[in-house]
Amino acid sequence: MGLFAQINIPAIALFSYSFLFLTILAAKKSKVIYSFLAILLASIFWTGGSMFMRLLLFPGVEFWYQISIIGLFCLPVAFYNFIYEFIGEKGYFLRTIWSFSTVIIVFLNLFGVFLAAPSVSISATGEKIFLYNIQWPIIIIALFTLVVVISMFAMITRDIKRNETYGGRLSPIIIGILILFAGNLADLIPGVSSTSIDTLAGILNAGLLFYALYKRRLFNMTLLASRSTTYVIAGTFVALIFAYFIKPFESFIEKDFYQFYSYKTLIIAISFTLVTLIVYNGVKRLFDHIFVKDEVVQAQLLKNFSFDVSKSLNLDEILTELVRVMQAGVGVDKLYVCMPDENREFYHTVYSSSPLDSQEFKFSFSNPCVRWLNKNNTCLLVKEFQRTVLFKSMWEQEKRQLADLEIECLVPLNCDDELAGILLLAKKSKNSAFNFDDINFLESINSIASIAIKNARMYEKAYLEARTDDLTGLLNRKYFYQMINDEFNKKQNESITLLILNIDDFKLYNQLYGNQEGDAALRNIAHIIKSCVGKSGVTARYSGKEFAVILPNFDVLSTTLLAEEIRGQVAIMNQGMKNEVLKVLTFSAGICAYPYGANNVKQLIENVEMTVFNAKRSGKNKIEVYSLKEPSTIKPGYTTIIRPDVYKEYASTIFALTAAIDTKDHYTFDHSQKVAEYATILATAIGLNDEHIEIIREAALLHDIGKIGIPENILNKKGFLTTEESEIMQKHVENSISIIKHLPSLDYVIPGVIGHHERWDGKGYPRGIAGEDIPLSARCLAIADAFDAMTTQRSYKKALPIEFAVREISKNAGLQFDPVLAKTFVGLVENQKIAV
Amino acid sequence: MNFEAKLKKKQYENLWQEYCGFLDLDLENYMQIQKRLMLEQILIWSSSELGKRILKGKQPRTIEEFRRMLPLTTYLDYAQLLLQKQADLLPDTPVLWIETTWEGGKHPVKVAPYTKSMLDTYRSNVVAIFMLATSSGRGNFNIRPNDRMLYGLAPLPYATGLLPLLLDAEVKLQFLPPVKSAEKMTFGERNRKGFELGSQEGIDLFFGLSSVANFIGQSFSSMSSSGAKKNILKYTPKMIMRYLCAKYKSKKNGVPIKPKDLFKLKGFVCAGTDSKCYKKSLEDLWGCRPLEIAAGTEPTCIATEAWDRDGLYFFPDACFYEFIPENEMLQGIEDPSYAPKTYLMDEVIANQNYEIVLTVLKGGAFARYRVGDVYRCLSTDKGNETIKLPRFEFVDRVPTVIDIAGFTRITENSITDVINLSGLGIYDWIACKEYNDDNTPFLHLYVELKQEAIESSAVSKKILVEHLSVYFKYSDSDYHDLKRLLGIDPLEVTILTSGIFDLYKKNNHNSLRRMNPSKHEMMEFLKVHNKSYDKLSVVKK
Repeated sequence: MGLFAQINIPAIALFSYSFLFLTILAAKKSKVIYSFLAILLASIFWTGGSMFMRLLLFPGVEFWYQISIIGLFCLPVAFYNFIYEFIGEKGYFLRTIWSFSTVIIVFLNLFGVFLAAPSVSISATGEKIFLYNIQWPIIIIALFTLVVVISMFAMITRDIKRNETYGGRLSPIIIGILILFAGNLADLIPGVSSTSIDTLAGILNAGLLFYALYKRRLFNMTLLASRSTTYVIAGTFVALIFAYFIKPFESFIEKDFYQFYSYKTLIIAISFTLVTLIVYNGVKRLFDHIFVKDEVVQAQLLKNFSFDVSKSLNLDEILTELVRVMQAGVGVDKLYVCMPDENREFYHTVYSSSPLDSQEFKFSFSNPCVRWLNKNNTCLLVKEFQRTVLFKSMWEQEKRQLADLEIECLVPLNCDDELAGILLLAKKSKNSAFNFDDINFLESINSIASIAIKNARMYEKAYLEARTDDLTGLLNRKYFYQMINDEFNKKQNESITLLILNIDDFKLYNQLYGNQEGDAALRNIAHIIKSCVGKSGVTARYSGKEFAVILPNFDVLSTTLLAEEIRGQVAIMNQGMKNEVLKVLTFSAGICAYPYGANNVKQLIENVEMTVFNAKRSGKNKIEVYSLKEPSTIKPGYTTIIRPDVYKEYASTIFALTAAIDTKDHYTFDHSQKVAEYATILATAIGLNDEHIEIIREAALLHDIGKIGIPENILNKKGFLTTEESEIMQKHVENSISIIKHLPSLDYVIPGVIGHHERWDGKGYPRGIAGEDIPLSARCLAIADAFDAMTTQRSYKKALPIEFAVREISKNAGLQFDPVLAKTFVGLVENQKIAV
Repeated sequence: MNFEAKLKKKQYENLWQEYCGFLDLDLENYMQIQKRLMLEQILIWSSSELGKRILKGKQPRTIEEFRRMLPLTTYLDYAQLLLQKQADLLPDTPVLWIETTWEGGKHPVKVAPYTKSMLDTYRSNVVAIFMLATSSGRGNFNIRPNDRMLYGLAPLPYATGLLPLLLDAEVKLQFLPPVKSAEKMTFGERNRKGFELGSQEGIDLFFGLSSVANFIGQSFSSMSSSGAKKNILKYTPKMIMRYLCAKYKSKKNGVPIKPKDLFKLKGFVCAGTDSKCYKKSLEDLWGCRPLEIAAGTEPTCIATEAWDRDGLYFFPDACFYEFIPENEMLQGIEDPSYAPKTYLMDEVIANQNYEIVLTVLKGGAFARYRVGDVYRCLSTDKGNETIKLPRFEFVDRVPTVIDIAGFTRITENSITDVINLSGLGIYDWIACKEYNDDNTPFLHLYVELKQEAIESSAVSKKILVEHLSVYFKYSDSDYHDLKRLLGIDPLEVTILTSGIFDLYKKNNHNSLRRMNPSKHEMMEFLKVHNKSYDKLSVVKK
């Protein structure tokens, strides 16, 4: 027991202090840490010096005694400093006094003023005895220590008083100091002193201080698992084993393996090495298991994640992997991934850890969290964020959303200084707070995931752009071909139907309402088709005004019903959309199904195109099915708007309008009749079909209808018009359009009406368009209009001779008039097919 | 985690950031908070039934649209819905309704709904106030659990009654007297009891109306010696020592004991109209410069001074602030149909007076609301090196309201009622808020008597003052409290000679505003008066 108490306990104490010292040395330094290191150093001096003195080691008792006593004398002030830093006390006065006094005491004691080095004698039993010559000055040291301890306790009391319920954090320290005291007092009790109980108390005290620091999270426990501490532990352990077992082991070899006795040194050396290796690895594994297990798991996850996402450009795959890794690495219950929308107004939830989670959550770009993440590019802990000024600008709804989802941490996915996404982490499974290691892990994941996600999004965007149509968002024609081939290959043993929808008179629609309105109509129709088809098929924009729908497993009947549904919705599409009345759009559709109507993809497409053409030719607004027999209309009776009987239907309207102008300006009425006559002859001469001729005739009748809105004094003015009057007069074209626009059934005449004052060279009005951009009907009207204007008497001029008019038309061919039409018209006049 | 828990973790820097961090904002970031919260408020207010009714079908989406579409409002715009406490028509569910008197209103009280978010903001801002009240520099504050607070303000359902409840949720303070027993006491009893308890154990914090704190301070000597039966055992040794020292010093120097001789206040918060008149005196009496705040029933707590106690800074998250320049405000008073222009916090100019217009954030009911307070901008961000926000001081109520010492609000209607009730033959009158040599505010009533009253009844000036005082007290209990609690007699009457109002009107082609005409107008009026007659009789009670 005596040996154990005098050597082994100090040895264990020295080991413990050294171990803590090495461990803490690796921690991030702060004033508290430095003050704790000072305690450990003083303790090492005290215990080590004392032990080496007892062992009578070189350079001698005197040296080790001084080392030991320096440590001992410095301990009170080291404790004082530690408490001072630990509780954040202010004021330097006492601290300076104690420190300065300690330096003086230590210095004086080098000369043995307070307690001189002991003398060594050997007892009869061979035991070493250390004799101290205790003099009265030692009382100064005792008093000094007492005063320092009192001031230390006063400091602790003040702090506890200030923070009544927070005394808990100081408990380990107080207990430690009390134990140290008790240990030192026990040393004075005869019989107990030999057990080195003061040293034992010192070990316990150091352990408690260590615990207090750990509780304040001043260092990481993983520091304990550093290589240096593992070496120290393994080394000490092996040294102890061999110190006790080397002799028995030697006798064991000598006794039981005598033949190997001459190799005993080698055997012992090999055994020592092996045991060292085993102990080192055992200690390392144990430490790793206790302290760095989580880190190892996280590192492995990180490595796997990095490898997995580097192989993929699929966003879904990356997000799935990201969520899995985060859940495994940090241990969160729920996790959401938010990505910016196209308009860059919100970050929407695009992925969550469970498909059952609501994905309604979204962050606006102006959300203070987003601003914070953008600025700081690091994890945001909601609890900490709540304590910033920026949090004040959070909306209540935004706060509620975070609270409802129990979000505790937001991780930015930053790439090229841009917030490419946000990860929302709900509370951890064990309800513990996010710690330093978690944040490190999340940030490592973030840097890998950010790049992977950005690449995947770029790829996805490029892939999408390459296969979709910008305007409608449907697949483009190129990708349509790929899709139909793919689907065909997949469905060879089943049926596949192709439906193509071609919008009727879409050019007219564009001319009536402008390209912008036309684009809107295309988008709306695309939306209708997409909604009706859903996931049953693939929808594409086949050409400018054509849409194609690939319908795997559909038969003709179900496809026709689908087309009917689309037609019904397109028919009502424009109702109530705008303030002005928009023309009803219709389409002609063709359907062909494999294997009933085609043997391969090429045939399928050709047959549908032919069917659409037939539907157009036979009156538009029809859904036709390809058949190897005569083309049949599924629902006869759907006819084009432009059918002969329609003209009869609207003749009364046209008559009413022309009659109206007649009452105001009889000349215009006559003029319109004549222009209609000339234009009809010209249209017939250039070989237009009956429908087109009829359109031109009606356009001619209505082309000056806008003159209703021109004041009579300008209409009937004798003499030339002033500039202002001319401007008013020119407005009759727009007036005409405004009137006709409100009669959607007559809108087909608008191209003719609107363009009859345009010139071939582009110098006309109202739009200044040129050449063949001017509708054919308008070009016909322009010549007819000019010819009649020249050959009839007007209020401001007499009728000009026909020859003059013909010459003028010839002269202006290619300038004002279409050269081909002008030539034809001149020919018609010269051949007297047109008579004035 | 509340303030107390954070305090115990010694996270002082974080606490300062959390509660007082707004003082570190620059104007741009301040406006960003204002505008963002305002957008939230526009969204919820406009879609509420209350908002729809006031907006009359308009749907503003931006702050500019909101300011353009919504005219400035007064309580009258809300009275019908709020007085019936129709919670379902409001932007957000109210947790409680706070009451106050409706000066010159058609109803004796007006009520304001408080939502949970409003209360959260209020609580956070109240903590900021007390941190600042105990601070002498940035980041340096001294509130601790169990600090004793003398609290001289009204209990619920008045807005001031919220404070103990809100503070209690953040940090446990000892209110003097305890909140529960204080609720059953009258205002005077509470002050007396609080003072008595404070004398026994000491006072760390004091929050009260400036006028009340001043009155307590000035009558301290008599209050501390009153109540002969004192139980010495209830006094802490420290307080006994302080009391003895103070007594000795008082006798030696022949001066009365002041509160500062007995109490070492860590923080002193004052509120109420006329605070600026009392501040110097309060500092002398209590040994601690008070920190002034601005708060009200409708707007909640909106502004506080910082550690330098040199001007108010508005909290960015309580209300959205607009400011009517003084000339625009006066034009609005002259012509009620005129819509005054408003400016935002980043548009105010130093050394200008502004009437404040508030939109209560966080689901509050009041939007573009004229609360009737006038502030002066002392400096904008360039003026102060440490705090880069506009700094203000509370000037007074709008000229149409006369507020004496934060107790009573007298309007043209209330004076007319009093005159009618009194039956005195007063032909015409002008009311001005003026200050005496001690900087104490009073109501100065300039009256012209009817000719027949002069001839047929006893209308000496003394009778006028006494008569009117009786009826002021009858119709306004707050006015009564002025005398009862503070010993202030706030009425002075000057009898003008007959015909002066008609003469002024004839000379100037218009009448003078009855409530608080401008100083120049008043000077002109008195010049007319002095020219016509040699002597002007001024009588004080």
